[in-house]
Amino acid sequence: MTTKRETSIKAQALQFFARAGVVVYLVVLVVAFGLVNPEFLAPQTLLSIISVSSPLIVVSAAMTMCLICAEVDLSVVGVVGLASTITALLITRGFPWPVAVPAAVAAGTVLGAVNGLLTSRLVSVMPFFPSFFPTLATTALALGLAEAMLPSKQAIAISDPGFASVFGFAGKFNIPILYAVAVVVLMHLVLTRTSFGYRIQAVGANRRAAPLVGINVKRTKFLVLTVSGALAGFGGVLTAGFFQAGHSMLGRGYDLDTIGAAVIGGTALFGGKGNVIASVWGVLVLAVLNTGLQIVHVEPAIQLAATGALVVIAVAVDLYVRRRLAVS
Amino acid sequence: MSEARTVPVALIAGKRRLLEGLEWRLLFLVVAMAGVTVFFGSLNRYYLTWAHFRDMGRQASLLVVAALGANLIIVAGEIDLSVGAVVGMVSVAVPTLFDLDLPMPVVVFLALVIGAAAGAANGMITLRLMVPSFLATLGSMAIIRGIALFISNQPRQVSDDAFGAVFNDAIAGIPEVLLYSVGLMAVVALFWKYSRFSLRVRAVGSSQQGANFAGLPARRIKFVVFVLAGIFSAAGALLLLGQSLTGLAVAAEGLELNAIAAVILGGGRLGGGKGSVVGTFLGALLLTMVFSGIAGMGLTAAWQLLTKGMILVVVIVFMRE
Repeated sequence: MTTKRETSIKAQALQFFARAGVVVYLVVLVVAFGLVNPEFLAPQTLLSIISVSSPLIVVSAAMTMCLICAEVDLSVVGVVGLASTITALLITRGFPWPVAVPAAVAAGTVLGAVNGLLTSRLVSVMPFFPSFFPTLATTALALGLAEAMLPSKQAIAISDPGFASVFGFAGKFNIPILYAVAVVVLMHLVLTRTSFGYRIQAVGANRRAAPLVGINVKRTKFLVLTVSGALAGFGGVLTAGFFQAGHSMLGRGYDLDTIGAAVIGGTALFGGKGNVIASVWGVLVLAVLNTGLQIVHVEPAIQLAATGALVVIAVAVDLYVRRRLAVS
Repeated sequence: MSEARTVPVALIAGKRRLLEGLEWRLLFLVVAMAGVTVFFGSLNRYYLTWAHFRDMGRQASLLVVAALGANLIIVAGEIDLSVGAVVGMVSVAVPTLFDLDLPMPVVVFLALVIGAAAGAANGMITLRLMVPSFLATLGSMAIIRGIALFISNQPRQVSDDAFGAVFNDAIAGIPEVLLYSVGLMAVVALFWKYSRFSLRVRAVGSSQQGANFAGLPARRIKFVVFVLAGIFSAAGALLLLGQSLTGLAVAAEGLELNAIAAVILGGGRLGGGKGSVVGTFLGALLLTMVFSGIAGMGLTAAWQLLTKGMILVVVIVFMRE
């Protein structure tokens, strides 16, 4: 009797951790860095953390969708870089932003569709994450294309008042925050309120059961990766807006950061479960960590290692908690 | 869907042939290499010179060794994306160790130990913590690059004479690094053919569950494979240092993708159970020849990346199972 109760308390504690873990992480991090350096708690710092994160929030919404479908999109690194380069290149060539931005998103969509096609070929070969290899291939394609567009490897600066008024800063406020919020709300509705969202969850939860209820697994995965490419393209536009420049390397680290953000937010690594809004908290945890480490003057090399370690630990802890929950 | 794969009949029957029914693929690779030579040779006379082939041999040595490690990992059904990062870390660690006045054999041994430690860490994260290997090694890639940059964010020279004599010289006009990589390939090919361990690796890669049922310590075998792959990466770093005598923390970026591409071109099966040492070797040579040809045409690194991406896409499209 007592042992039963003990396990249930333990299970409850685990469940609490699984649910509230991310907010606890965030509060602890903010308070810890605030104690080390009170400057960290200044409103500008917190606003700048959110500003930096807005492209990452959009891309992490895409990554969350992929993970719910038991896929992963590593090509966000390349697509963000490519989309930012295309945006900057077209605007400096004299095209207005309403042409440049859709072109960049379209490039992301095309690469996403390539990911989707290649992945649906691999679904029967690889039991887990068939998309990781095709998306690595398209990363090379996207980075190559972006670098080929850059004159002499330099970043392309954007100096277009029209683009700046829509994707730049209004005072200290980064306008893309609004778009990031809109994307998150939209994706949340798609994933929770539409049949497409339901199919994504079903395929991710059990790809053998999904066809039995009439869901086309390959088609669902194709659509998920295509949408992910489009969102990564839009994330690239927002990155170009944040820096007012385009470069192939602007998406560097987005693969690890967005997977980490999703998992820290409680998305199941092996599919079926996830929440786009929770991933926003995950992005903020990583952003707070990065900004905090900068403020306490930690070397960039250690910051890189710390991000990698945090993501690995978060994934390991999440998997451990889920295994224990499954047992109890 | 495909967890319950069938073990190839040849494995059950205990038949171990070097080529494992991959002759047509090896033939294709040789024909492709000849085609690449003719194509780039017709564009650029220099491509056909002995000096250029020697250069390509030097450049290929790193990829060959890295791809041999990747072949082991892929046959075991895992993936290692930290190869380039380990090469970068070892390439700055070696000059640092020489600065401590350690003798050359000790430094080489320590370099291999560092690689083994990195491989062991990957193995622990994947097998103990159960993080899928592509994600575990994506994370360790960031950690290891971070450590490499922490060791030194500047290029580091190796000024040790003994190291230069053993790695940076040529024997009968053939660069030593090329001899080492070909020698290593031959050793691994023999090991692949005759050792019981290679049979176990293939069994675990075909079906981990099946291997467990057959009484094989699947996780321990995979752990050894991860450690071996780390050692191969470190050996690759030594060959890279032998080419230029300069270590760089950000060296060998993207090497992991080239290595995986070489393995799959050579007949490796993403998902485990299948792979050819000779095929991997030829795949690595083919990739090096293509990249060298593109560089020789005066095209930038961007075009190499694009070509790499296109080769990978074609490889995936024609992957038949």
